[in-house]
Amino acid sequence: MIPDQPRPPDKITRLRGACFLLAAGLLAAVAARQMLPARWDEPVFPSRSMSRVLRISDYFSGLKHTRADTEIYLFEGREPGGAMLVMGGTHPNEPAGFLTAVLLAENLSVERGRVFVIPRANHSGFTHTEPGEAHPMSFAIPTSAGTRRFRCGCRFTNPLDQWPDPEVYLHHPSGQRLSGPETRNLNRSFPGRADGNFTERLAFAVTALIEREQIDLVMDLHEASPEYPVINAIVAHERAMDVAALANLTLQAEGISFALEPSPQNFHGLTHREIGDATPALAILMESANLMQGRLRGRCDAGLILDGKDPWYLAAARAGLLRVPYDEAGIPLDVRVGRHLAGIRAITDALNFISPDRAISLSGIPTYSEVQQRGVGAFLSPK
Amino acid sequence: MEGWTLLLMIAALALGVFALRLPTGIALFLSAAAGALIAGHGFPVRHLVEGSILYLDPILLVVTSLFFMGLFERSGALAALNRAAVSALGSRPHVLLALLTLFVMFPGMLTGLTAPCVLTTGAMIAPVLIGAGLSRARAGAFIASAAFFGMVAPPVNIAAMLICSGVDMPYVGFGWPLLLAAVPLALVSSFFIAGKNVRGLADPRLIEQLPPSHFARHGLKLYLPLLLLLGLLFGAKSFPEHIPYVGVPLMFVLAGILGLVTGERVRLTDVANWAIRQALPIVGLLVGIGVFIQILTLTGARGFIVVETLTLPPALLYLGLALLVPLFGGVSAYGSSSVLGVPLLLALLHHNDIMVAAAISLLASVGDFLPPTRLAVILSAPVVNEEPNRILRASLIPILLGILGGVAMILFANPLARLLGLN
Ligand SMILES: [Zn+2]
Repeated sequence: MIPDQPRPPDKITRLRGACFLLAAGLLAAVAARQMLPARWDEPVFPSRSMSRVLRISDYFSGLKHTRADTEIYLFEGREPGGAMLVMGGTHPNEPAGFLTAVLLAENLSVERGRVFVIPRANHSGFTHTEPGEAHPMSFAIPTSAGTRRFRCGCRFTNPLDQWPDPEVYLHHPSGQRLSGPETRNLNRSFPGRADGNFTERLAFAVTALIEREQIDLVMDLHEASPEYPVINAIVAHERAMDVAALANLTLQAEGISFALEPSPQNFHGLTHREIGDATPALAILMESANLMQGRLRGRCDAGLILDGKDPWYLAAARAGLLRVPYDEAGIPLDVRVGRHLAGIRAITDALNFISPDRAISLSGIPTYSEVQQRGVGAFLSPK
Repeated sequence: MEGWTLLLMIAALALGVFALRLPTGIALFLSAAAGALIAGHGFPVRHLVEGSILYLDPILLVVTSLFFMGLFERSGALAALNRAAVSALGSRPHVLLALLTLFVMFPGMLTGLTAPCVLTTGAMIAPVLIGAGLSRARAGAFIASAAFFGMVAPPVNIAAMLICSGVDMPYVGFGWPLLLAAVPLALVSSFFIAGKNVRGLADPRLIEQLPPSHFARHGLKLYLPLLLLLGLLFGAKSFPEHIPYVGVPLMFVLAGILGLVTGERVRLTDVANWAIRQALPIVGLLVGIGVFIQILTLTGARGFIVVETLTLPPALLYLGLALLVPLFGGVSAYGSSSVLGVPLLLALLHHNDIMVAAAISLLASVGDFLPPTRLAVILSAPVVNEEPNRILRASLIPILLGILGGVAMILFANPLARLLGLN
């Protein structure tokens, strides 16, 4: 039953309405001004040994002039060898993955083989933050040449690029059902399709790169909340398991402990499952523990990204609720980036040992203890 | 500190709603701003605005479903539909009551929200219920109850999906557990609320009390908007490669506009104005909830709630589940399932995870009845022209059944899962 038409508003109601509209407009304008920097890419200063800057649209022209297009830094050694792709920012709200890829692009030199580095794999996700999560928009890293700001984005593609979400996300081609917003999750959209939605097209472009450049090894850098079961982990496709297991032994010998996890056979859309299934590449994903992503965190600001200290996580750790060791020292960004870098070195070494004909030789990557002693900022000075 | 912030926000909210008699949406916004200030964040414009768009999609759904219903009613289709249903099934009132329940649940099964149930199918059957002799409060409770169980029922249960994405679990195998959680309880609730008046549905005088039908003048053409809506909904789901997905709000608008030419003459501006006026308090509420949640998260009050719940002693954990998940659901059912549901599921891993996720989604959805927002009740108030609190008092049965059902599903998760063949 539809209630009757209410009385037309009187003068005072109209005036009050106008005031509310004005106030809302003002708040929106101020917020828009504050959110604007999320649209600007932070500069990356690639190391001198970089050969070329490519773009993901070079591999799928459908992404030209869209917010999905993103930079790829290519390092070519003098000797021929294997090829490797390192992806950061598949989830832009996972700072250690993004920052590790930036640090790699700024310090790497390659003697043998080719290395492709994508720091902002879901470029669109860097242009907004997730409502309800109250994440900081950016964090600052002190370097010898001054402070550098890096964005902290959203796990999902910007709805301005892809909207509305269906009620249920059907993954292509498996038909797996996930919640609607996962349609905008790049790491649920692989292998992607050329005529799919924005995020599926982006995944398609990455898959095309892997095929065209005959990539041997894909490393996708992530973070997860400390209460999440797959954490401080190396997740490997079954064909990549030998390489990952060998790398894990090296890391253990260095005193850096990772859990070695097989990529689940029946969980679709993720890099370590679909790239491994759809291309000849060995697909590996690494996770570090990021408090900012968790639901147990207290106050949330950029400091939480940098020092990884939180009283509520400490209480949860004492109650045995976390999957990673956690104490007063926190889990600082230096530790998380250091772990990712150590993982990349160990996995490359393992690949070289197992397939010497497709070897890749790298230098310039700081060790775990170097990063702990000097901090990530020491390796992020513009040169 | 986080605990004090939470306390202050709740106190400010109570002050705004009860002492100052502010609309709940505005009280939520002001208590959020107060919480941010006391926690040392000043007046965080970015967070206040970002939180306000947390529920943008449900807001669009509320406005457009009201627009559709306004046109459907004014074109004469609603009265025709009601008369047809009563004259076809009036002789079997128990079947009619069960069908009315499922009918109200239907939009919720497709959208995972209570709002389209209450505002479309609920509004459609309200005259039948009241005509059959239900008090306005009970009619409102009947609609709110069916809408609540419709939100839980499969195939689309957004609360369960949010829990799944939080723990990286595919949304698979939920059909039977959610059906079990929703349909029997919905029918029991309906018969508790309306049972006394079941004979009223069979009373031949009921038809006379319903608004006059224009079916004779317009014929089946009247129902075209409803058919277009269903066609768009199922078309996009069944043939995604041929029919593009435009979103349910746009489907409501398109189907509503068709109603301009299928029945009685209606002025578009009248209906649009009416829909916006009806929607405004609900939109304000949804905006306020979003801001409140954003500030709960920013100040760490959210972490306080989660950690305090998770660290309850085991004996109290189930009590906590039964009370805190619905209570947080009173702010937002989605917020409760994603924020409390995910860590709770991880803490209850020795239980079947599908049953636990389904149960938590039921518990969190009970929050749609509870203060501060009382969303299902607030929505049904204008539909039956009754005070929200009276509807709330008449809704005690579905609230209790929802809580008991949810806790039972967790306690017996493993045997139930075996029974349904989930392991
Ligand atoms: Zn990730």
